[in-house]
Amino acid sequence: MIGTDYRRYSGRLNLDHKVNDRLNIDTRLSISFSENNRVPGDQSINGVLPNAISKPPIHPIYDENGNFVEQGFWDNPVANGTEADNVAQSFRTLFNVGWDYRIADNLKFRNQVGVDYSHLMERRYEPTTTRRGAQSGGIGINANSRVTKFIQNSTLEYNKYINDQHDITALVGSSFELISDRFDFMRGNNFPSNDLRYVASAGNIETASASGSEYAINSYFGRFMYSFEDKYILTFNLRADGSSNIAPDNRYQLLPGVSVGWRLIEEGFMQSQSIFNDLKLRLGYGKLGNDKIGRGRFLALYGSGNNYFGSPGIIPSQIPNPNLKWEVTTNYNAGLDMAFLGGKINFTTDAYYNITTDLLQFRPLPGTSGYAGYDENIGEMENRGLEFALKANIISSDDLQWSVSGNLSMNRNKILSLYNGQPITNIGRGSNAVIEGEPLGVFYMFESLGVDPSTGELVMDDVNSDGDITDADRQLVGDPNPDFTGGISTNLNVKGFDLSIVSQFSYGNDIFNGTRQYTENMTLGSNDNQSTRIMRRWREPGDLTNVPKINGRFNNEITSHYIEDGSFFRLRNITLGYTLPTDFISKYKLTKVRVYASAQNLLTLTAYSGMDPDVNYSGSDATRKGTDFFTFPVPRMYTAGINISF
Amino acid sequence: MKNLTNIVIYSFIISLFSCEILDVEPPFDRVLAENAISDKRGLDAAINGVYDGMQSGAIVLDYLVISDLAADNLEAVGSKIDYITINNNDPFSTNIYVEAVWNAHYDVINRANNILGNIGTIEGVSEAEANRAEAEMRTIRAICYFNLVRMYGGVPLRETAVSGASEQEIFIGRASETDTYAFIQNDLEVSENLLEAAGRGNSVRIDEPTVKALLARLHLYRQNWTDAEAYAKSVINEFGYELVEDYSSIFDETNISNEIIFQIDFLNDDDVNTIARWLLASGRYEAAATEDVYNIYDNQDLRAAVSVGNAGGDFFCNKYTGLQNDVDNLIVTRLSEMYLIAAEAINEQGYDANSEAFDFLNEVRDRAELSGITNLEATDQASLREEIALERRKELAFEGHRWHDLVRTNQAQTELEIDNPNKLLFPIPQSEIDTNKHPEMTQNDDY
Repeated sequence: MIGTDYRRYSGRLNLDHKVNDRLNIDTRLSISFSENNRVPGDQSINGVLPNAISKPPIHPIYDENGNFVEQGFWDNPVANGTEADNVAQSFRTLFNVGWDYRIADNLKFRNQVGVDYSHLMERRYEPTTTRRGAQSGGIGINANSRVTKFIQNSTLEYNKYINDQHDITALVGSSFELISDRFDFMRGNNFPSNDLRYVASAGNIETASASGSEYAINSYFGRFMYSFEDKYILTFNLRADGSSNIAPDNRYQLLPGVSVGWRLIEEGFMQSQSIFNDLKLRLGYGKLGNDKIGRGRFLALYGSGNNYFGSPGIIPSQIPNPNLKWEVTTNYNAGLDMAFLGGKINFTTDAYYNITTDLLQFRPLPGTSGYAGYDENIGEMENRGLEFALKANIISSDDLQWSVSGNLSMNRNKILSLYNGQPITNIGRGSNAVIEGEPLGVFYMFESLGVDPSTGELVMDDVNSDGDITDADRQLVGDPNPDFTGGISTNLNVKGFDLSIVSQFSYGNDIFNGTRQYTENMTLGSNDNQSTRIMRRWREPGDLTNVPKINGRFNNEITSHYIEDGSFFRLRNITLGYTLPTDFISKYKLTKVRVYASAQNLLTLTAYSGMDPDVNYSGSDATRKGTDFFTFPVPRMYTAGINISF
Repeated sequence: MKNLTNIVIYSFIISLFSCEILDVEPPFDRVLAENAISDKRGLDAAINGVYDGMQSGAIVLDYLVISDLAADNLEAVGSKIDYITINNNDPFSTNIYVEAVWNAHYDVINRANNILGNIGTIEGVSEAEANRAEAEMRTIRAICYFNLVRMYGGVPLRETAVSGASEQEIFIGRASETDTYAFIQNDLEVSENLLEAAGRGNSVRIDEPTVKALLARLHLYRQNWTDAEAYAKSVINEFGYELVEDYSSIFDETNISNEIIFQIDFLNDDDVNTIARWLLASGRYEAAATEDVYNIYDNQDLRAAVSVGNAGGDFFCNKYTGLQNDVDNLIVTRLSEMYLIAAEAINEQGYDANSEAFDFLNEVRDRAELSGITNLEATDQASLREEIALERRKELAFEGHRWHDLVRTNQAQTELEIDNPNKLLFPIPQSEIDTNKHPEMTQNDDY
């Protein structure tokens, strides 16, 4: 992609001081700075990628004098990519001071305080050589966001090892974190020149804003571990977590856990077998809390900045939820660790069942309430899964080492209950939904049955058979969650050469290809470039095709016509390296020299018609899944380098 | 050593007493609702917040565009899928504009209800100030319900603020169309009393003539011709407005013309109205002016070029041109509408070759430098009715009237070739149907 680059500088300092036999002091300091030149508006309609795809090729990029040409609905993507500034500077510093004090031989107290400060500054400028810049005499933006995290934790730990058999560890402690956010933002336009690109030069300040918020979490915890001859391992956990996000009445949540490990291989009855070199059984039960919602959501609040005619305004922004509580996931798991053939083959398998209660979600309220919705504990969800991992050290001699490993995971997610059974539909551009009895984020829309050869129209499934396609005919048409995912990788080392290959795959996940909704809609008068698929469109009665006619009734709608199988296999990384012989480099006082070349994402096998099956326009949002909307593909990257150690 | 041991124990104890540290402040741009409207300053800010709600894109842009897009003044030519189905008079109930318009109006209604429920309890507010606040809030609520009833038919009537999410509070059924209009009329009439003799303000907030103008419009829609005539004449005669000579100055983003009765005003350091970006041929051009509307203007009509632009055969709405700062205002009502209401209301009471209806109509035509319609051209009630309707279309194009005028005069089906009369109402948004389980929260027929 034109117009992108990245620079990073970092440093780190650790100082430890042993005051006396009992007291130790340690400090950690790390600082990093990076500057990232990006292209404007990824994932937005002003982004380079959507404009590059959608702009019909009849519109030129340059005129005969080499100046940018702005024609038609879409922006000139080359102008946006090369002329506009979009610079992000980020600075992060992490500082910790800890001290531990041995009260008695078996009893240790540790306390640590720290600050984690990160600052992101973004500056953008759209000069008058871009379309939007030209409309406003240049647009400049400056934004800062600062996150300061204060951390303190204290633990008291007791260890006892009795008769070389009983290993006991007990620990109690507390921790506290305060996260304090601040941000400011300003945007100006009407600049005197494209050489003046900072807001200081703007003739007009359009927007200026600053605010912040805070979040605190406080925990008390205890842990007891008992191990008998490394054969039986028992762990109890109990913690009470308190969060400022949760309503005062429910602020602290108790979260117990217990796990058992049993190394069967150590048992007497296993000594007579020769199949297993290791065999361990693990069983666990535990609860996890989630308070990841907005801040102060349990309060009745008014918002500000809702100004009118130069005077300040406030509005009711939120209804209270005094019952807001933690979302809790209870986890049950069992696992087996095995080793065969003298440890050459390791195999691990895990099974789990997670049930999440008091699911925290934004519950949509009817528009007539005046509010879009509010945060509530609205339901229950389960996750069931199996995981397998295999590693084989096939050859491990001095000259030649070869290993292969693979993993496979299956997860089944299901919403068990929702508030009043009320589904949440129409989420995001791909019309994801949260529906009782279904996985999170399923696609809920019209089901397209194909193109009617007599009319050229996409035919929608009339679910209620009333002869009319209405919103009541929407149905579940796909699931963005994969049936299984996994990966295979291998490492080979021969006489100084090393080769590693990492691959991954995903099977059975659906993608809503939202890009096609624009590039194949064939709407007369539309400004979107159309893909070559429309060459196969229906033209006259009798045509058998899966591409509808021009101006078809449903070409523009969100329907299963744009849902595709997103299964893929991808070579994530291939690296080939060579390490120079030691006796050769030692002449130059070097300890190690390695040259290497690597390729990322060299190959993707998929039936998906979009640019990349492994993308989502909405990042990691749990409900807006599997939707491609002019989404930036994972880039293919080639790297070559040399590592030198002195 | 003993000291150190003590420090250890103390710091542990201190950390145990850290419960209050979880009481962090709400986000710094928020204030607890109970403290929000406690004095005059808070009341003023809350009132501004209601006007701010009227600045929502769904009201100043979407509602306005829909009113011409569903009719014959605008057509969808861009990438907005949900414009196309509105253009074709067959939107789905999941149409984002159908939903946004609904939600934005109820948001304003809820903001206004919050104030109406609080006015009596605020310290340091005089009776006159309280009356003015009540009148403004009731009128703004009436504007919202009027917009809603024109688009969706009878709608749920919220009279008090929503304070929680219980079913009793959240679930609400639809009122009949008649009851919705009666509710609007009551709000406007109470406001009229509260503002009696208060006179004219600055045209960016609701004042006495605004209320009268809205009553004139309401009675026009309800075909109470004598009331419509009386209110329209009162606005025309009593408040010093004039039909300004320069038609284009009405749409000047920065100066308020003496023709504006009430507009939602945008300043460039506040919210934005992106309507120019959407409609100008040099902007995103999502909706074009139709060739049909381009052709209704006579060559010498001063309104022609101000209303419809022509960029090499690409016709576009030219009334909103604030592309640089997005400060185009939303004109809620202006004087020439009152002239046209007076003309129509008089003609509907019976044709008279010498009636005032000609005078009111011709004042509007005269400003556009068109010759008057005479009783030789409009020789009966029907032909005068046609002239007035055409003049309304020319004068008020792209100002949010066309679709509603066609529907209220029973012309929509024939003019726009809509076979199914149920499509004259928009669908209730699917999100409302899905979340509001009141038995009387019904979908409109054929959606």
